[in-house]
Amino acid sequence: MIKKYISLVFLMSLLSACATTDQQDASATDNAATGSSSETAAVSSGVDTASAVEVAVESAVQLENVFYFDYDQATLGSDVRASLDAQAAVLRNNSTAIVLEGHADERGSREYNLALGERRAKAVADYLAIQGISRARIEVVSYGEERPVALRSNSADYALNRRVELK
Amino acid sequence: MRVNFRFYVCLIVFFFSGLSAADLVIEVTDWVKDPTKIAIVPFHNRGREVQQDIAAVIAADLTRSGQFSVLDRDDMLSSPSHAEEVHFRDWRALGVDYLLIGRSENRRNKMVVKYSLFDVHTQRALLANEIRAGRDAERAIAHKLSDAVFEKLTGIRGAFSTRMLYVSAQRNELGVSSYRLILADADGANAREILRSSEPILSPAWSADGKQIAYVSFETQRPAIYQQIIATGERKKLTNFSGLNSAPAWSPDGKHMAMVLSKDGNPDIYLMNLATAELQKITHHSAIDTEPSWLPDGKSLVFTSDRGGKPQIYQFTLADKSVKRLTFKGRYNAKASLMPDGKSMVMVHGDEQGYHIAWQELATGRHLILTSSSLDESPSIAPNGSMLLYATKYAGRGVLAAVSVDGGIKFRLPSPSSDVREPAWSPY
Amino acid sequence: MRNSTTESTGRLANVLIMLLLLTPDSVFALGQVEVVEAESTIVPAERYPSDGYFDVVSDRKSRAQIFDSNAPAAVASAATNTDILLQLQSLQAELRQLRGLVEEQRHAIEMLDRKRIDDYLDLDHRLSVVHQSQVEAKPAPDKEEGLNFSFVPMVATQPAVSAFDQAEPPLSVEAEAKQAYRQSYQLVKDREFERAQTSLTDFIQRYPSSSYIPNAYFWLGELQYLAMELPLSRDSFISLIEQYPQHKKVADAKFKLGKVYHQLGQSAKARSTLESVLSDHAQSTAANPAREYLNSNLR
Repeated sequence: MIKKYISLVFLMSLLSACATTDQQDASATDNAATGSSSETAAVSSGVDTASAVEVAVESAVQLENVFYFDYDQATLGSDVRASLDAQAAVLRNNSTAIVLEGHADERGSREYNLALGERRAKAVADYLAIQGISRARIEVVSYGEERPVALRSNSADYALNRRVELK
Repeated sequence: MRVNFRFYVCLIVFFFSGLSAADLVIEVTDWVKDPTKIAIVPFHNRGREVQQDIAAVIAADLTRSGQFSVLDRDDMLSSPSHAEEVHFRDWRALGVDYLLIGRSENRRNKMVVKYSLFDVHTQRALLANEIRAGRDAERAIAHKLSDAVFEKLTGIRGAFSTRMLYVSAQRNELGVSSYRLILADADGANAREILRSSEPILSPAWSADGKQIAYVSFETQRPAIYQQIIATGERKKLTNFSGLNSAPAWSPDGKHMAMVLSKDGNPDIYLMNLATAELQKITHHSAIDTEPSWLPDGKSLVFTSDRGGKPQIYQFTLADKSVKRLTFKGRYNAKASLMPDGKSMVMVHGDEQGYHIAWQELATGRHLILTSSSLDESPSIAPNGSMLLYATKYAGRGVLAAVSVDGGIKFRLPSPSSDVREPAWSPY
Repeated sequence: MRNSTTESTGRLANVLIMLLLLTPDSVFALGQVEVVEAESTIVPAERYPSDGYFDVVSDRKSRAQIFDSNAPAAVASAATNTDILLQLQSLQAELRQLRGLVEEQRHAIEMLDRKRIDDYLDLDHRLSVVHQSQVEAKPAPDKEEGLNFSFVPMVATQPAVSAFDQAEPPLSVEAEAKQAYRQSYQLVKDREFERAQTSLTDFIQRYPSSSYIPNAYFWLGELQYLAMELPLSRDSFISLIEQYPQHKKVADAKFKLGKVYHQLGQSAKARSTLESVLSDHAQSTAANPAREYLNSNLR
């Protein structure tokens, strides 16, 4: 029964990876229609279906271990969800322990950023749990702004530092 | 006068550069409009040679307060060390309001410093006293003397004899970081390492009696809160729950530690009874609650919460468990810290220009932005409430800086070799 | 205001609690049963713009209809759960934003409230200056503490002191009462309205026979009016008018009482009270404002 369920989920996740692109496209049109002004919406509406499929396929092949976020947000963008779907498909086939490290950019206060990093890592953990990865396998650690990967004080580097790393 | 300032800044830089590499260097970047003019005559010494120029340390202290301009030594016409050697007319001619003279005796086991402070206009002695200490205690004596002069001339208790904690981070060529918790005098001198780790160190905090500290260390790959006695180095792990263990803050009576734990799923503020290790959860909210800071009366705390969508400062009152939002200006207000009188606070304030240190009066909501750099954080107030230390970025590197509570005086304490951050000014 | 905002927050909280019951851990069993069309299930958080609590709710409804449709069996569970997780996250963000909005609006209202009182005092001050000059041009026979409209020390202090100085040489209790009244009145001048109100109430209880009682009633009524405690204000003015019908403050008290009645929606009483100012106290400084008020509000 469990085996059957797992394979079902695996199949589904592959399907959903494709489904995601459709969904993304649909949401992009939605956003255009409702005139949403959020940054992510602006970005995703610029992505055509073909390239979105490419992104999804690519991320399914070479697994993404780092997931990025908007300023002061822990929302999982559609690209992040696609990468996580692919990760989940692999993780379901083994039972290794996973550490999710949450990070923030340097702006604002350190302790708040510590909490923000944790919120991001938990958002990823919850998403993976729903994809069938036992929450008991996942440990969440936040480093806040203490472990930047990019060191300059500009928006490009900030974007690289607002991340969750799967280890 | 500007020239003299520059000279003194140079002097200070020169002065400190001879010290250990971990020491901070002080650059005064902004002064009050009309500083008090004082001359500090080099102290005459008898006995063993002194290692430190007491008059120079005092000059540096008073300059750093921003409220004094110190006369250039080269301009002095004489160097009296006894009252009878003072010719007030000369000092008046130099435009000096006050004059400090003194002499030291450095014996084998002790050091005695006698000093006098004169009002040049009335020609009267305002202070005439002596300080005794162990041998080679020049810096400690100099800071005490600065405290006495500062209090006499401003009416505000001096905080030159206090200390500070800060975190220093360094990355080597291989990209490996090393973090150090440093304890130093309030002027950055006498820096010594309390803890070194390859994992982050955060949130240093003082007990109200200044004898113990608390901090967060990731040395076990997970955050944990530690409590440490400074004198003995003895330490104790207070918490290492799963999730966040952060932002320790000692209650004014020393009995409780406020802290942030996310063991129940999201960050909330807890009080730990330090005698029993009993935990009491005081905020219950699905949003982020963090950065608790006590009001001096110990009856309430302020904290940062994003329960309103953006981080803002809230006040929690222990008696009735009420929560009240305090900040309404700006899209980002965090890490508040109360002034010693409990009537106002400073915090990190984010607006279109970046992140500054701002001051706010609790009763009226009156608001003042104190700093103009854009990545300012971690404000920590001097025990006399006159200045506050904060962390900022200067030339791409983390530095400490200080600003007076009215925003008028500023100085930087750049470290020669590492990123420094999270200053915590000790109590008296 | 306060009630309605807590109510809306409460409703949101209910929605959240419902969703919390469906958090990741508990959701597996659910997911295995439900059959959903794959394309419609992953809902990006961006779909919910920040102004849309109601959007979210209506969206849930339409989604519920999709649940009923017969769709391919495979891809169900995780996708449904994902849907719920993302909705939960977006609802939490939404709730935070709304809470922030409520906090900010409450603050704005408090600020407006404070400003309203300040504006009132400012207006009062200017009016009293105008009246002062009128009075000076045509000296009134009896000058009591301040002019009737004024809380403002600039104008009020002088006459107040002289009024006290002119008071009868008092008995010792009366001296004490005078002292107490003076303190209460100082609170009024210092704009410590809440404390002044308490202090005046105490005064009336402690010194019921003092000659300052009518004055105390008058100021108490004024303060209660300022605090929009209209029934209390009405009672204070009535106490003054009924118990001390000969007191020089009665004309002003009647004028104020008329305004209170009007704001309480009792127009007939308001009119008769104001008209009695015109008939019984035609020479008083309250007569003109009473006439103006009648003309502009009640005719």
